[in-house]
Amino acid sequence: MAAKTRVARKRRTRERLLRAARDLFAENGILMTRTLDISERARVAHGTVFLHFLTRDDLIAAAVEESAGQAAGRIHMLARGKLTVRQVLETHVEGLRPQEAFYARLVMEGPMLPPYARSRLIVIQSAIAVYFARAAKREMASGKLRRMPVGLLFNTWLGLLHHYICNRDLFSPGEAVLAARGAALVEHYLALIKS
Amino acid sequence: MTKPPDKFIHCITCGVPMRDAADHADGDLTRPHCRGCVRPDGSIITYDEVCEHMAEHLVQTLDLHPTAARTIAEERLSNLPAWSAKPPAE
Repeated sequence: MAAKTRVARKRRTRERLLRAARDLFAENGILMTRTLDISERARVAHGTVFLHFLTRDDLIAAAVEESAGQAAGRIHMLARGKLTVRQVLETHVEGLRPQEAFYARLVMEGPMLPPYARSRLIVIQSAIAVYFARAAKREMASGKLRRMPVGLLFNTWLGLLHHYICNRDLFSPGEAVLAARGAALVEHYLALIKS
Repeated sequence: MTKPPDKFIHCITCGVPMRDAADHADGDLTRPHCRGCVRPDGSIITYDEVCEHMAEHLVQTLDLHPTAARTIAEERLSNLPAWSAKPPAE
């Protein structure tokens, strides 16, 4: 019983640290946030951070894993059936919405992130791109979409999406840009690629 | 829309998320490998095979340069249970 309580407490502390890290990363930037800031926000001793994460880079990688993985996870759940390009894009937007501010930092600071954290972000993007590619190839074969290299096609979507997320203060000040403009971005992109 | 689970089980060899038995090798939920990482004879594919497959996948899906894709794949694999404890060996 005592062991179970300890495990539960440890899990809660880890979650609190990750939540504090994500919030501070979103507010101040990933590279500008110190582990001391995270421990203070989570209201734990500084040393507690390193009981849960060996290094600061491990903490960053865990935050990337949890946050960016949500979008891939949503698509993965739906993927038993055949998704359309529209469904992939809408699910991508939906999956990023809860973490929009943190994701913006990930995109802006991506090339400067610790290698493992950056690789996780790219592999997660690739997981989404797989479902996109499958759907796009089917729709190209049926004549719905123009024939184009699927990697470039997905990067075109990412370019559009990331531009709006990174500059969200210009497109929807005081409001989440994916809530305000996400649907319009999907419609615009689909109109561009249809045959 | 279906709510995704909080956590997926990931293949210890390639990291792909496994949602149900159909994603596991032999359809067996107790196997820690995905079906793509086990050959028909039951052997596990090698580090080089996983790495090459992942890099190729990154080139195709995200249009990455092959060298960058290989670096990303190696970085990802270095933190997976099957490869993190020891250097890759054939």
